[in-house]
Amino acid sequence: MAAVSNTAWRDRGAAEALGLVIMFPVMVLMAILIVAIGRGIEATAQARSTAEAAAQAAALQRSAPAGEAAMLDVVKRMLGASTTCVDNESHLAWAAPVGGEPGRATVTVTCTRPGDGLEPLELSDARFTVTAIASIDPLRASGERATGLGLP
Amino acid sequence: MAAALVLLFTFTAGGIIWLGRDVNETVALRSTAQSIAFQAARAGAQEIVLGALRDEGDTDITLDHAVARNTALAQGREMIEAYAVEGVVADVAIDGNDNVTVTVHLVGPGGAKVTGVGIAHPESR
Repeated sequence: MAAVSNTAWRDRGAAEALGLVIMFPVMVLMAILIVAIGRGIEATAQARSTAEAAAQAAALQRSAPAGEAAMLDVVKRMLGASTTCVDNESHLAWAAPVGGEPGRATVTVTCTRPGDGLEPLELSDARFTVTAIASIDPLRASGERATGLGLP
Repeated sequence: MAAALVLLFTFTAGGIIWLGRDVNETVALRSTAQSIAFQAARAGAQEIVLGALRDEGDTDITLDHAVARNTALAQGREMIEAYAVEGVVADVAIDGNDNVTVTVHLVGPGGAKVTGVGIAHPESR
């Protein structure tokens, strides 16, 4: 009776050890998956927030070159020290207001979410793009104006 | 035992990925809603009464409430169209201090509903 009990105890201990051996890598992979998803969300949120701010900064300028400069300044300030949205590129499409039609400043920010530390999931660097649109201020923008209030 | 574990972890990983995508979509949509609401509020707050400034030399900035409301609504609708999202300008409120508050409701492709609120106030600089 005692021998049977000892065998059962040993078998149970071995099963638990085996379970731990199987479970541990899976738990680690699960943790890495959560980190990967979090990093992706953070990178996208940063890029989107930057694009929105840059588009609104550009939309307050009088011309496309001034808008471009304002956009680059905002992108540099917001993403300059970022570790989740790196190697960023930004582009401004400037559609000046014409007649009664409102103008639009469309900013596209492209950046890379680094894959450092995510190798166990075979996730490498991921490049993504976000776009933000802002309405160009008709009281400031040069060009053909409906209001007649802008500066020459 | 092994099959049960594989099934359990597959479902857990799937759930985490689905949750991540859902959160990402909601965060992006909320950012868009805030941007639209703020730009609509700003457009509304620019509709000041110009007659007094031009003709009477008055330096007080006064908001034209009716025009501001229409402009904010139009701007909000135009931005919703520009972003190609589904949503409405739910409310444009202007208080006694000329603060223009715009509330925008958006619905994401996955059915997520978010609200953005933007406030702007006219001032001379």
